[in-house]
Amino acid sequence: MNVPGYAGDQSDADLDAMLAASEDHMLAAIQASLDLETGLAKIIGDPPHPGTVGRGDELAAARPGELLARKFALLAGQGELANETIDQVYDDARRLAWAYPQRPLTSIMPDLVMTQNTIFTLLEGRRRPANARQLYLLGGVVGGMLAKASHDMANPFAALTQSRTAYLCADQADHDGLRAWIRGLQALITYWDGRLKQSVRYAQQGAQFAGRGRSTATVWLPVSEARAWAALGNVPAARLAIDSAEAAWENVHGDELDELGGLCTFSRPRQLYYSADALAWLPTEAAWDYAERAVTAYDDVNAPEWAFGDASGSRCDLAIARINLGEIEGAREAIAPVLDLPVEKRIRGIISSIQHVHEALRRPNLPQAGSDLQEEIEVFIKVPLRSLPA
Amino acid sequence: MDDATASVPDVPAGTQDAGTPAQGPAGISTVEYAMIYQAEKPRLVRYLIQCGANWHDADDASQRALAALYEQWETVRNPRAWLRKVAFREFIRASSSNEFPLEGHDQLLPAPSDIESLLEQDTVLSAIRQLPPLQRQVFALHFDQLTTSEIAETLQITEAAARQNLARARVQLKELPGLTRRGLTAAQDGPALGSKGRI
Repeated sequence: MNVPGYAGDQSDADLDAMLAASEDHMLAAIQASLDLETGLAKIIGDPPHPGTVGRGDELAAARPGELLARKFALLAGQGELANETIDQVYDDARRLAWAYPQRPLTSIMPDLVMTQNTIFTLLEGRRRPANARQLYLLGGVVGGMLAKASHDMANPFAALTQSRTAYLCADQADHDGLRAWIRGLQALITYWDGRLKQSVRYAQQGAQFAGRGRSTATVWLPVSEARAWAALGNVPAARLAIDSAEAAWENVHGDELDELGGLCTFSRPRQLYYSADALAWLPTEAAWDYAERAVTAYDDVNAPEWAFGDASGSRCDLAIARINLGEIEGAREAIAPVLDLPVEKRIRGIISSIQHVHEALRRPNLPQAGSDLQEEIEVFIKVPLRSLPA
Repeated sequence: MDDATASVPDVPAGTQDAGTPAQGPAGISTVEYAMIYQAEKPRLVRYLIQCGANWHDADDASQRALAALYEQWETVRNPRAWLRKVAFREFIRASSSNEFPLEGHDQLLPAPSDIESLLEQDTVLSAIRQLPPLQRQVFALHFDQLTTSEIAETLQITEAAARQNLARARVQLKELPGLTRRGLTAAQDGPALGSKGRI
């Protein structure tokens, strides 16, 4: 299979690797050297009521992000934030996390944006430090979902920008589970964007945080890494990462993100799908086995962990496994429910997955059934979600 | 494959009594602006340094561009392209009393921290700063993940010109020792960029 973004000769790949390595290093060095607090204060002005919250040692001891948050706290002049309001926002974020994998993006987008605006507004009001941490946690979760939404709408740049904002929230909340989850999203976005080495790096960075938090991201990150390694053709690294994900379940205890559930947690069916997705790049017996098990795991549309994107991806992986065994009819049967998806559900990952099926069909002497299937796929991808009017 | 299931909680209808966000002069929330500021300032500084600016000029021009964005938020259609266009203009304006800054890329003025010596050791930065001016700008914007149309908009050139300059920059960079294996081979044959020498 061709990997998007990795066409070209070896020196192209060398250059891209050098550039990617330099990107993080240089930006981190610049970031560390800039006085962002002072620069920002020069533009948005000093807080209008400097006497109303802690001063002196308390401010001096705070980290830059906290200082920024305290400045915001002074700006809006709202009353003390009620616990009921935080609970309401928590419930909203939880409902969205559950709805995201199961409902069309178009039906939840307005609520996602509204909830994020609410959280940002509340962050500008006066609130206790414990409330601020919770708000930043929820801000990171909702920001992560918005990043996923941009990715699903085939806008990887906006997705990465939003994920960085979400990561800022994770830093403000100082929450390792959230940091790990956002790195997982970034690994996902870059994987589908064909930036596979960057995807590996995000997954590895996230795994460090996940290990501390013991959330289900400890499984998600290695199996995400496996997909990217497999797409890069690194079979030993992919297999190692798949095994590592299998073993990671033993240490999972769950954290606040797992309690939110839905998109914020990682399930066994998703692990099967990711493994199948990794192995689809490396035609083996195991690829067929994982894909069968993933499709079975997503059979029950009423199961809480059911997700239309992952269910469709699993079916595409099964189709690829069957094509590799010469079973074109079986492949058609596997992806029939995917080809029936309404436009509202034709998210970026599904379009890319079904394109992989199309690529798997590229071979000389393809039987008529294969040629027909290629045509059906071409009709399907012609109208993706992003083609819908905003 | 139906989309709704009984197990999914209702999607929130939004929350009430959220209050009015603090607004900047042109309607942008201060939190939203702060997020943009934090994300964009380091990238703007990096872009200008890649274009040949020293640390002080890059910091100063980026700050001016970000301040202008806050004032003119409502009229800015594409903040990323706009910021880079304005920041570069500010950099040129500040440097106009000196020699043309794009030709002065070899010297880095002292900075208030160790950042300059760190940057001087960055092989990729050194390589980008050896490119001809327009290629350098195009490549720096590409490095910053701007699309071809955003690069064209920022530099007020055609998309075809942006693509052409990007392709030429990549060819030049691949020949440089230290960046690719081809560059290593080229290094044994002689300087890759003629009078500009090697990194």
